[in-house]
Amino acid sequence: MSCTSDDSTRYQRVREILNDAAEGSAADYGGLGRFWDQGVDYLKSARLHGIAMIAIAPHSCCGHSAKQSDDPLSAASGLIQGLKGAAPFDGHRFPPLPWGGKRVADTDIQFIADWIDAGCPDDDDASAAEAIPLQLEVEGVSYITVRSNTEFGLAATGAWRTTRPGELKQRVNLDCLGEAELDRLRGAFRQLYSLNDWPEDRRSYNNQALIHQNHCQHGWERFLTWHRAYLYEFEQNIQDFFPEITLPYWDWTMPQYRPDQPELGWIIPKSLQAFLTGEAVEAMLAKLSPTATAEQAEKFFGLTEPRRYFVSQNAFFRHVYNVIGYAFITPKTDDLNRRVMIDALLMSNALWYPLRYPAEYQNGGTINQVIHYHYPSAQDIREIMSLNNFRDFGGGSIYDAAFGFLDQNPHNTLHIWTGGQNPNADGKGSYEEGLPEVQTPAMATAQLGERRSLMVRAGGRRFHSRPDMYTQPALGDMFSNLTASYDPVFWPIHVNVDRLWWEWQKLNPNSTPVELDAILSPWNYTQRDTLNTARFGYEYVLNTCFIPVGLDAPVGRFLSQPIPVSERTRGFRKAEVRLHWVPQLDRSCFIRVFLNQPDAGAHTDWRDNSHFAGYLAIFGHGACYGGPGHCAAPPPKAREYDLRTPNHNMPRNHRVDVTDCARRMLEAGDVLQITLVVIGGDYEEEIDLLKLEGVSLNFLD
Amino acid sequence: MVSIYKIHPAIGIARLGNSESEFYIAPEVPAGLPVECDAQGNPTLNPDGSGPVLVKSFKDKDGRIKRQAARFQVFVYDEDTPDGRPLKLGDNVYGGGNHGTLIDIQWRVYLANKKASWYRFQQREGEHGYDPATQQRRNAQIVGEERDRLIIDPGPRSVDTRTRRRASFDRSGNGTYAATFPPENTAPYTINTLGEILADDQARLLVLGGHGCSGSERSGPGEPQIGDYANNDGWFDDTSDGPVMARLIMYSEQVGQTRFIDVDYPAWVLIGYPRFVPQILDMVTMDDVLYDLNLRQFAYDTSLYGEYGAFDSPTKIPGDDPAALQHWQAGRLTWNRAYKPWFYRDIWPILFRPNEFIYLSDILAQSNFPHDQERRGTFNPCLLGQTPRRFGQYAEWEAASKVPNPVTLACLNAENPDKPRFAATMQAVRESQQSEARVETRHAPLQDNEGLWVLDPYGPMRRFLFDLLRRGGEENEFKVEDKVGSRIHNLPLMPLLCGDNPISDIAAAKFLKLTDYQLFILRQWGEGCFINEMEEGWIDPKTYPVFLPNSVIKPPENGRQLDRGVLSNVLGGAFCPGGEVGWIMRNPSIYREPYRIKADRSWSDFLQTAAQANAQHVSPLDDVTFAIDSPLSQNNNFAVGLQPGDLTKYMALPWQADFNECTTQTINITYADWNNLYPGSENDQRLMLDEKTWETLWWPAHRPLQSNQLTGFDSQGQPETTWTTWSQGIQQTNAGDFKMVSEWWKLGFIIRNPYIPENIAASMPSTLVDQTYNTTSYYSIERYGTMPPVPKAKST
Repeated sequence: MSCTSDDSTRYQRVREILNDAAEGSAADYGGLGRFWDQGVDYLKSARLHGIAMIAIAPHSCCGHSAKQSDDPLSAASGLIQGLKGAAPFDGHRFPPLPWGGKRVADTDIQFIADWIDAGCPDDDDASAAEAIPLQLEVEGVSYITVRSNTEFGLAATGAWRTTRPGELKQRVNLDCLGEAELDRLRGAFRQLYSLNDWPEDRRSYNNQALIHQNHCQHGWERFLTWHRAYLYEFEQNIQDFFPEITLPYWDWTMPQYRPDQPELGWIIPKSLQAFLTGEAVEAMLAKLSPTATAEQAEKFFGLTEPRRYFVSQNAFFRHVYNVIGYAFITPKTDDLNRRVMIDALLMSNALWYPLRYPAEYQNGGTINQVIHYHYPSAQDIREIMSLNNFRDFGGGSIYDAAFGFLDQNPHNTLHIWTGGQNPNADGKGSYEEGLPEVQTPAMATAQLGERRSLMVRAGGRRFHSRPDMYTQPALGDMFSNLTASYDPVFWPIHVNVDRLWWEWQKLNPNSTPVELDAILSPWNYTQRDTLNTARFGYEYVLNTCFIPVGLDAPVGRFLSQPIPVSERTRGFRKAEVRLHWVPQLDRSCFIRVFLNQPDAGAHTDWRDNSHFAGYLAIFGHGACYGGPGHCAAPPPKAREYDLRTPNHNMPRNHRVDVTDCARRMLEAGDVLQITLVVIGGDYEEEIDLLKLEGVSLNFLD
Repeated sequence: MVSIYKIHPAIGIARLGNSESEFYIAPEVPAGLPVECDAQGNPTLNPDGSGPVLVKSFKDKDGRIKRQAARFQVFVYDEDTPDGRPLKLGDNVYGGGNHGTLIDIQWRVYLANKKASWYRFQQREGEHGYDPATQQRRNAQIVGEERDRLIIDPGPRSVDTRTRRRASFDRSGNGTYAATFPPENTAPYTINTLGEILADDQARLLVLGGHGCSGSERSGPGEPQIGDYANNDGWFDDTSDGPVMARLIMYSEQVGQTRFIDVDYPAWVLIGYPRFVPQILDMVTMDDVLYDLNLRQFAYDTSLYGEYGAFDSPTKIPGDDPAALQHWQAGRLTWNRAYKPWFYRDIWPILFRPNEFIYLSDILAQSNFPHDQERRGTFNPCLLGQTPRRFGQYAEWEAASKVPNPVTLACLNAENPDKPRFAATMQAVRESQQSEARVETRHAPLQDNEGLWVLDPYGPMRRFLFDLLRRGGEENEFKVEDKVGSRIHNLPLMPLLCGDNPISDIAAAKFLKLTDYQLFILRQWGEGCFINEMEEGWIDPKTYPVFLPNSVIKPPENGRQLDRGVLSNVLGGAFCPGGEVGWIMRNPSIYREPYRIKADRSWSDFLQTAAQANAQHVSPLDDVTFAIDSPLSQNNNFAVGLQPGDLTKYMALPWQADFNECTTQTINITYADWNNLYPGSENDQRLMLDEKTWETLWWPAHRPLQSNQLTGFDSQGQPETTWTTWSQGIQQTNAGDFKMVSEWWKLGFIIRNPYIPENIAASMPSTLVDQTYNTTSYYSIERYGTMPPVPKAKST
């Protein structure tokens, strides 16, 4: 801080800066002359060709100063815009200021801007100004006791809950799911696997996977439409057993996958990787021969808590051999100990699949070196999302059958990435550390396609049978479209492809495949049928949190428990507070949404309040003019054959965009707490009006 | 941010020529000369590398007209250069999820000519759709699928810098496409090609058009013949247009492979007839037309034209979002009345144009006092450019009114190099004020609304000129006749040039009107709401080239400047049907976004997607398996986009017929709404006596009438010229039209006299230069049959 005795005022410094810059210029400024050099009042009222050189402060409202507004006064001032060369002083309407002189340094512009924001003081001291501490805004904070019964807890199940009519089911980010939801998802897959014992049951996992083997569409415009229908059919098949479950998506560009060096990232979602549960270890130890030592057994149990994840079976067996020290295990397909351990891994995680060698390529090479494809980054996806026609994005029509970018890479790449090349193909090699890998001759790129279909074999396989799980093929099942859908990782990859198309559709609402009437066999959907996902009853959200309220009694002020927002969720594009199943209200009201301001009430200032997130207005229904039952709540679901438009009294769902406020709050913390204040026509709080089933906080990608 | 790659210019202009192989590159600045290049299209640079060499000779050694190539290049828009910069070989390229080094660009162009299959040109009919009941097609006797042969369809062609530098739109279909061409025995000329494309060393594309070969397939007595200025059944010509697409080829170090990505959207190439007067702009250019259209239809600059009351914080509306634009247009849109145009950048270049036409037309050359830019003329810029001054006290006003304005003095000084002492006197200032326009049209109050005393001695001159301009709805008014007290009573409205329909009685538009934007800024200027850059010190009166106003426009640095520079040399009206292209360009439905034609991408794009090329490691140059389920359409589908040939099909067939006849038009001005009166049908003697006509010019800068023709050089090495008819021996008749089919290439090119030093031409009106130095500012060269004159001594 400068402590020299400089008795010039800030205004004088402003004049000096501008006079220096304008030296030698005779510009008349539309008759104003050097408007900065004729006193502060002249400058404050100066309008250069109609542009106010100093913006006028918006007048304060209800006794609250407008100083906290996001845009400082200086940004709206023509003088600052002109010095910076910003519009309208960008040379089109006017050249930058000063006219005919030289440009002013950024630090000096900032000095002038600060002076303007300080209210253009005429007589303060330039050096003293720096010494004055900023006055802290402490006024107006008063504490109101929050009624204890208004804090609502978060739903335990998190993502998946029963939806009401008019609501879409939500497909969420796999990596944002909690362990409880993941276990239910595993249970659902197990359910379908168990049906494999009845080969002719179309619901079985293998029969579902067979549809892809026999009908899948790639390399042209039916890629996206066919897979949308396929995912929907598979999801419905699951929902026959578990109605609340939706298929999650794997956003492979998230930071934990380190797309620039994907070999060093997670490689595939942890939830699909190999791990052991205590129960499985117990079952496994009983069958190992020779028996594991006590020390080794302890180490096996050590893998369960904290849970240790392995990307592939090779990684797991190497750990067993070299770290746990249990060396009675080889890659041979008839190795009994290997079989026992594969059984244990499958028992632990139904989403793990042994015939999957993610990121493993011939001779220890990378996907870039061996396959000449690269793992997609977020920037890559942004580039693909910027394509402006369906043909480039999703593929060409029958007359120019051609790959779309989404299909070719990342989709193909993710198949190759998760499928991988088995380092122990045909049971060769050893799990011992330090031994050279089995060397195989490198393939020429041109031959790759040919080799691929040669090497992934579907014929003669009995999928998801134990003998099949013990085999050592050269390539992972994801490597070929004949076998890909037998690996559960197929689903989250394709759900993400579907999500990207869904996002892209919003950017390009008129870009569609050419042949909209074409049938997507083996179903009866046409391509046109698949264009709107709402028809299939789902939407995509990154993450969601539901807070049940219940319709029994009106809720006065709604306050949620603090909602933790994980690092992974922070990258959201949009945040929404939704009010679910709100019955018609008697009276009109506003509902104001505040974040992290539990004491907010009807008199809480919302204008300059960084906690104010948004509001919605609900029109009251008014008194019923009908007979008894006219305005009774309708049944949640219409009767069969009741195809009339919905009952006038059907409860509604409401949304408020809280993106900006949520971002602000998450800069300082990692929780969000929702307060809803119901404001009546008299601008006072209404505590006896709003009923709703629940409130949710949704993050969108 | 994602890098976006775009082709510019969005609309490129090539021009016909009958030289077999010689060509030059289209000018990219207003009123610029074309650029010399080598056989591969690489621009020839000055020996000192300071810039490209401009064309001096428009014909080859056999006297045949060189073709003008439309040059296209790819610009990249990214974080560093949001306004775009030219992409160069070796640059890093990002797209489609891949990145690498740019090693080549593959270009694909599809030219076609649909004229013979399109509707007969009937002035403005069809501008808002064709009535199927009454509108006739050309060659209507040919029906059904046989009409497909009326479309000249050579198929698409592709080039790059590494494997195929050049490809021709000839009958061969390049061996891979079954082309459709008129029969070989058309007369007087056979059409064997619509042009060719080539890639230069920088991977830019050059598109060359046809050779000006027009012919009729009809034979027998009296054939071939021309019977109409625009519609002649049996005829074909070799103008064309179509989409231009580009694919970037990169080498990706990351995966050790070649990768491909297409540019954002196709551009369009238009092929028109030669620009015989390259350095004189039309009164309304295509750039004027599109800028106006983009402002009003595409929210191009909402601080200029936008929602009333929102000019201080203008809304940004994406120009490629039809729904957002429609919503915007439903609002209360208006011009920003606070907008201040700049005199020398915006106003003077418009006022400057009409006086140039004195070098192209006898009518104007003999008497052009109204556009005089000299000291006492109505168009003296140093007076018209003065802004009103305001004073709080009358005494200040009075004092100021007695002192010459310093800018006026500087201008007078520049104008009178020979009389410096005179120029500094009040007498000179007073003389400069004693023009005809000193009499005021409207008397501005001496005090304004705020009580300030306004000193605006030239306000009446400005308002007089603005009042003379034809406004919207006055297209059929010859002059204002109902304002007896007005200074403009009985004076013809301006511009006094032909309109879109001075011929028929259906949707007549006898006279040309400036664009709404031009009228808006001229109105602001008339009212004194403008900026004089000299008064503000932004430009120096001593050095600013007032009388070469287009010379200040620098070569384009970004794509948008390139779009506009190229279009400024295209005729922007009147469209009857016009020069290169017609009123279809005013239809917002044909654009995807400002300046960019909406393309039917099933015709414009590469056969395979770039993603497919990535998968197969190659992007074939020949569309060998090109297969589509229908031929080029006989109709329009603006919702899908334009096909090859959809812009030039509106023009005259053959083009030479209309070109020949577009000198002057006898416009019947008896009744505003009627072009045709038939007094004889009722023996209406009074009407016969009352009938009045005005012989009106079309667009002299595109179709000159007379010119100073270079005949030789005097002993000082100065050019000697003679004033003569430009198209000698070609009558304004259908027979003359037929002659033009064979004679067009013999006509001279009219250029600015290169022997007048630029500093002199820049500092005084051309008429004063001509008088002072006993010369002419423009003359015609290279007329076929005249010996190419050689100066006897070097000019100094």
